[in-house]
Amino acid sequence: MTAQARTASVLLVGNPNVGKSTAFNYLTRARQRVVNAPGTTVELAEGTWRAGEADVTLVDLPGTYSLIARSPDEQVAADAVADPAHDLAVVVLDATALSRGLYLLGQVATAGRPVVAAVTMADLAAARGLRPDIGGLASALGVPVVEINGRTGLGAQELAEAVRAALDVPAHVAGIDPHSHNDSLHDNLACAQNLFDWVERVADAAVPATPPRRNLTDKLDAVLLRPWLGIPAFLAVVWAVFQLTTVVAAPLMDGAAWLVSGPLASAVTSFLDLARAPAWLASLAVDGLLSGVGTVLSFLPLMAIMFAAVSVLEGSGYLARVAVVADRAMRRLGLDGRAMLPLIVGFGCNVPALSATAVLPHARQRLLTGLLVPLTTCTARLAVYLLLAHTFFPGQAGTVVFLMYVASIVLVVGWGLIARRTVLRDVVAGPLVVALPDYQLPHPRALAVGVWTRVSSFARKAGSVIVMAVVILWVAQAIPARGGYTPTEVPVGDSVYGVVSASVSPALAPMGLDDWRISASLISGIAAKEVVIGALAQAYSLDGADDASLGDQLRSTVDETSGGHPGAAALALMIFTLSYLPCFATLAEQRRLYGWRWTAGSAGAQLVGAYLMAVAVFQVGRLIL
Amino acid sequence: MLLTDLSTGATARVRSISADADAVLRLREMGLRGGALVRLDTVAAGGARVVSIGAARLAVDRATAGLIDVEPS
Repeated sequence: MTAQARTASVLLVGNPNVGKSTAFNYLTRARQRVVNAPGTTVELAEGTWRAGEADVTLVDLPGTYSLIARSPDEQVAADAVADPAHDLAVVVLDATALSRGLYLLGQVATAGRPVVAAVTMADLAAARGLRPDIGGLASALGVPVVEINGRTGLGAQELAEAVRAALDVPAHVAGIDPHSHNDSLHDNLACAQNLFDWVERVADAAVPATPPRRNLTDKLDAVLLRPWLGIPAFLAVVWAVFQLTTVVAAPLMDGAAWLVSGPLASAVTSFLDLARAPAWLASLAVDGLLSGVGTVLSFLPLMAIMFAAVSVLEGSGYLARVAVVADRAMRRLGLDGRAMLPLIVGFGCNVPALSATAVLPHARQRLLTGLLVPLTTCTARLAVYLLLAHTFFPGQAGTVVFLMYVASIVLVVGWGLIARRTVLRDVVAGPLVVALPDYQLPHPRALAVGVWTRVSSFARKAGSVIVMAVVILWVAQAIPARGGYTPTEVPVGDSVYGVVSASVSPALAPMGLDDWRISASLISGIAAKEVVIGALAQAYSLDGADDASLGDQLRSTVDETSGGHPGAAALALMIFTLSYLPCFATLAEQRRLYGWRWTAGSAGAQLVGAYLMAVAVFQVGRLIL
Repeated sequence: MLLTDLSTGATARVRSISADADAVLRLREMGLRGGALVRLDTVAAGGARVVSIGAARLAVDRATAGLIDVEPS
């Protein structure tokens, strides 16, 4: 079967940060989806591209410097290039780092894949006095070379024509012997030397041999990479991202929650009334399913903002600088600066943070980072701190919430040091060699398409887990455990949910929190931290209490359970919420990445640690507060 | 001399790298190969060295930079 008879498959290959994904988003527009690479947890974007007169499937591979893979991301790229099911590779070359890209192109050609080269950032190279000679490059390589710009669409038409022509008549790179690729390191070294010689010859034909002019990036780096300026600048950027998530996302989250619990819930209720549906069905639909959907929907703006912020930081080239600035601190944990990215993402949401560990080269480093991610306090936990801080420390709410973030960082460092001295003694930070691309402004459309793809993938995957968890909670609340009530009409305190929570709550007495409603909300929080507040509200409102606000009701409960030390008990509850157990989606992702033993072991250690800390906080705190 | 001894703004040619084979290969893949002309741009936080090779910039952690032997030019 020829490539023309079916939809041809074209790989987009390139070094990290070469504008590959920008080009991908431009070429495929919204016709793309996120898929897992076969047999791995590495996510790939796959799209449909109208190249010439027919559609081709375009696969955006993870950025890599080499096909001799050191990380799961790089392995995915290497495997895809070796797979003959793909018809062609478009190798994206950054004009400011041409040799590095040519080495990868040489490896792709060695694997036997036909090649078309696309050169990005030619304007940036020109600004530094090093514009590559596209014609010279094409004749040295013997394959089509097209200058493209994923931001403006420059070269998209020419690239489509070149790809179409190369699918008809495969183009192979001159001076490279296909299928000479080997897997042993010794053979790789010999093969690499041949490739390096070839790269030098090609690069000499295409790039002027003059030193680069210094540009704005050099001036910014002289500030942003310095210790006394770089670290405060980094903290300021992180602070700005969290301001964005709290200030911008909060009203959007409230709006989404209102839409579902208000107009949508009344519409569903009236429809079910008209259809004469039984009361339990209406309750399942509104309190179970719809409330689960509401939880997911209210969470999406936050995810979108977090994904957008990380994409902007990454695409602008700043994250590469963060890896450099954070490197020394991370080395104390046996990690290198690149581990900072997943930990930052973790403060938004732990689930994508676990995926972000795929950038780390060693399995043990990924494991250590992945076990520390749940200790970064995600935005769902922030909602709990806000309620507690405003209720129990009205004058100092901001300070208390800030202290929770400090506590989270202390926990990451503390647990990291403990893990390195016990179960993960063999984790050693390797060399850090990071390319520092020119700083760039993000392109809004490419950004929007990328964020949309990621958010819809999150909604499908994590969303189904959250909806299921909320429905299970509804069922546990609907089944009576005592008192001879009919199902769905049982007061929540007498349901299976209430009775189980009440049996657990005495364990919370040493932290001054022996109340079934608090234990119930913490149990619900294992499903998803977003439901802690909802579960608390539900426990109070279904308890037949009066109309006092949730904060006031909680305050009077804790006044009683803490024996007159509500502040100490509230701090204990915050510390416990910070680290007692990751949410179900995080646990599921950890199990998928590291297996159930590591997941269960670290969750158990976290639970015990959180319990001891919370008890200590209350016992010490009640002497002071 | 070592890359860590090079002063800011100075250029040098890479002579050899004394790390394990895999680390050397990755450094060479990134552009730090014998004969490559490098310019030291910045000494970053934690002692990492930022170098230019052609129009490309690389940051190398301090310990690794200390394994790279260069000849000033």
